[in-house]
Amino acid sequence: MPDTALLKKKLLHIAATGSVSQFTPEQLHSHYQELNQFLALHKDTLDSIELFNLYELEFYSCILTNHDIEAKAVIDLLLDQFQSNSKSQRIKLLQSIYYEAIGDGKQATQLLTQDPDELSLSRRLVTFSRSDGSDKYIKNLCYYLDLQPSDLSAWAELGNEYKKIGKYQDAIYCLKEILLHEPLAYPVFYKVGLYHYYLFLQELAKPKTRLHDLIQLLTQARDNFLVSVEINDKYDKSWVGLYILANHEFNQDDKFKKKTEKLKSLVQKKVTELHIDISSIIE
Amino acid sequence: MTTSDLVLDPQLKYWVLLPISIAMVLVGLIRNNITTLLQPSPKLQPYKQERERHFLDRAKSFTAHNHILTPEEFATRKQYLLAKLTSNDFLAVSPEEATTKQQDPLAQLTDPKNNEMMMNMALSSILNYIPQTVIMTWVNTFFSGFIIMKLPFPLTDGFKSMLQNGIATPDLNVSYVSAISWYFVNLLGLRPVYSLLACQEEADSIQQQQQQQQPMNIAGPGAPKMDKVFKAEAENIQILTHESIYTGVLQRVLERNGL
Repeated sequence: MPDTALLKKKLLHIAATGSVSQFTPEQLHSHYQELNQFLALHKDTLDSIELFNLYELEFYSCILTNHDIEAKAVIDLLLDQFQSNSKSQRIKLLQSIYYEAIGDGKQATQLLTQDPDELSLSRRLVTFSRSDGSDKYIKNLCYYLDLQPSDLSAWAELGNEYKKIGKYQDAIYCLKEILLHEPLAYPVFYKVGLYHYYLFLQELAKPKTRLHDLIQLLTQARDNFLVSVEINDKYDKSWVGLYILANHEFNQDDKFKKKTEKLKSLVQKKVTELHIDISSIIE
Repeated sequence: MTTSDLVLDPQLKYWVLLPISIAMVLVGLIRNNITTLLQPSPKLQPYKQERERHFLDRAKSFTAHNHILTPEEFATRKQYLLAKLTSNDFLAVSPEEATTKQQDPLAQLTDPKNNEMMMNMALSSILNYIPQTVIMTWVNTFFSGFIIMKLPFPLTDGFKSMLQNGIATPDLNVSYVSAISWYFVNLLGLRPVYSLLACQEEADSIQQQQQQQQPMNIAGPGAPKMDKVFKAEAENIQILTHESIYTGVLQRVLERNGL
């Protein structure tokens, strides 16, 4: 029997961080059961803020585990409680998610377009155009980012979309926007490095590319990986990136060999230290 | 000089002391509830102001963290931000509009936002004063000059004015409390009792959450004009010197690992 206070803390933490969206199916399933059980047993001991935060979490868990009817029940419960304040963005957001989940896109859109001041609803509305192809989605994201220029998750999403269609330069621009707000986000530095490397590969495949540009790209990729490991020495992804760059055929050239020698030995050391299985990754 | 003890009628306890205390607690609770009910629901900022705030945020983070950019990236962004900060693109209200609004004194008075704030302030002070006046009148009319209890511990003369308000007996022992003084003691000391009875802790945390969700209203009355803020930020950006984090990163990492 787990400690109730600890369990409560854990569930509230999940509710606050929204990490439920990144659970694996097994995790999600056990989380759903745990939450249901907890709410059934300890509903009365929670204060109202905790209770409704957990109800919100339960709604998301229901949606993610395909429990539509239960999700509807949670929404009705929230509506009963907050009917007097039916303008609440938070509830409208949940309602729109429910409508989208049962395939009623029209009603969901209608709910989201009622008031231009409700910006978190506009953000959700933007995601509706995902299915209309990348170009439309990117256009909508750009429009939204013009309204909310420091919404970091929207920038990340836009970067991801650009990456999907191979516009790495634009993707890097978006990621740099995140870094300007969060200058210690080493996974983002890793991503910037990775996109530079992709860009390098893209340019390499083109018939007429200046060698200087290619070297520039590789250097930038390397520098970003290096900044990432400078912030977090144990971030294995960046070490793998550095390993690949150091062993790249470009660097086997005698001209560069001298310069990269030290880096190569350092990367080799780190890879063994962190027990990274390079062979499986490279394949 | 010792004064002999006064004999207090025990009925005073039931007919004066308790009624005053109970009335104070009840009125306090009712006032608490009414204040909660009258609180305006948090309003959304117009999206234009949100956009303005977000853009300023973006400019500020550029000023603070531009070291993560390469020189080329720095140059393009600087150019973009300078152009936008000095134009009216991201301003919620253009400077011309703002000045015409300012010149018209009637507009200030009829502005619904100002009115609402004034109304709230007036309401909260009315809610404070009316019950207090009513109870004080009640105590003063019916129990003026009453000595209603004797504190079980001795006190210094300094407390005389606090505990024996309304009775003119300079030599009376300070431990005796007059009715009107009991009212004042209750008025100032009942706060913890209210919060205990009204689960104030939870209410407080709800209020705190609401305040957190609502970003500070930068466009409120008396706030600096946004176009001036933008101009100041543009000047900040203009004089920035850029030093990239990428310069010498290889050397730094190698050195840190002893190579």
